[in-house]
Amino acid sequence: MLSKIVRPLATPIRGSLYFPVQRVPLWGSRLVSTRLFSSSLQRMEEEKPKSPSSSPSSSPSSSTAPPHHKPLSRMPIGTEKDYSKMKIKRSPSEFLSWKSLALFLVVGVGMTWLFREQKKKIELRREAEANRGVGKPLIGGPFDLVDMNGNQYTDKDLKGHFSLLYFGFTHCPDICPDELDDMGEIIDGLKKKYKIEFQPIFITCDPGRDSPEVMKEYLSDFHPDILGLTGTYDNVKKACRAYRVYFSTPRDVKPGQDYLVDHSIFFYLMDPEGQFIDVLGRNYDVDGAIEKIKDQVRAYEPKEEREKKKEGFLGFLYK
Amino acid sequence: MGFFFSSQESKEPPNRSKREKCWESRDIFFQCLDRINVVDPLRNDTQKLVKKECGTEDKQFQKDCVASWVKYFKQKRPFDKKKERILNEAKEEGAEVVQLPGYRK
Repeated sequence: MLSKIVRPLATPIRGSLYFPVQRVPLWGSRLVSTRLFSSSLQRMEEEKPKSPSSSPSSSPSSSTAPPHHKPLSRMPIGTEKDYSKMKIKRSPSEFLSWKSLALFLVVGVGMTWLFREQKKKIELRREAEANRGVGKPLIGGPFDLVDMNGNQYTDKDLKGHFSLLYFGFTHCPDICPDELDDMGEIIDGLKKKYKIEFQPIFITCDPGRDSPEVMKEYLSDFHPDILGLTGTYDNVKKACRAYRVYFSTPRDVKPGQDYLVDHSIFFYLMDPEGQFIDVLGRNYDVDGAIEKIKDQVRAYEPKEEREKKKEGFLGFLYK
Repeated sequence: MGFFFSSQESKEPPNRSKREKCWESRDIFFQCLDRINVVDPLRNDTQKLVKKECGTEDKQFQKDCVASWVKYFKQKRPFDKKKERILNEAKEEGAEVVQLPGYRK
């Protein structure tokens, strides 16, 4: 088998053109599977009788062909230059100059950061979109309350700005005042760090005791931006229902009666369309809440833009 | 919108200074309970001991806080103690409390 392969290779016939015979040691060719070469072998054998050097006398050791035996097809017309002996002068290290390395790093880091930011934004938008819901919103809805200055405040007043809603009551023993203090820190933090402003709102779950005056007095202890909302028993109950806030306030409380109200403790982030986009539980600390609100506010895009993107050719990204 | 009541005093929610005073008295009372190893001050079998050892602190607590808050804090104490105990037990077993950035302690 071995001699069969080698012998024809030494000869300038077409079938042998692509075997680098000179470089393959003899034992190496034994490793080559016969199946790989079966087709070329067949051809070689066919052409054998035509070849002049295919006589049985030529031994495997004479397989190194002299240069003038090089196949003609490899020779440029009119020259005798052996290109295999020419050296390429260009060194591969010239591409690794500090300039190109710096460019590579800058572009690489920049693109990674950009893609990460964009990915985060798209994810947040998708989340917000899912929370906005189709048709009836899961959290939020129409309400008709009165603010602490005695003016009517409805869900329509939530439009045009981001809002952070918190439900509680003024007689709350420990959690609400804590949370309202946190709210103040969140307001200031977002303003200072990211120049983001929004309307913080405190809605009472205890309309029986929390009149607009009481609310105003109570909230004067906290951040001046916080707007207190109250209303009739039924309207407050309706608002709490809309926001999925557990509402346990007794309807008929005698004046002066001392009681506590159970309520859920969440901050609801509402977008400038008055729609719910995110909820922040007590698991977040002030910094965590600031970061989360900042991300949501930055990822927000107005409704027209969202619709346009959904219609666009990249719409599948937003669905 | 009518929220007019004759007795306005009890309607007024405690303001910041009153709240802080109440919490302070609560902490003093609870420290006293820690001293006599009482977890639940509302349990019948400990009432006597609490009255004897921490009577004055309890009175001050009730004076500085509205009744509903006193009840609330006393009811809450066993839960807080339980939470504390579980955390301590976990720590003794070699658990490490991991503070995630952005999350409350």
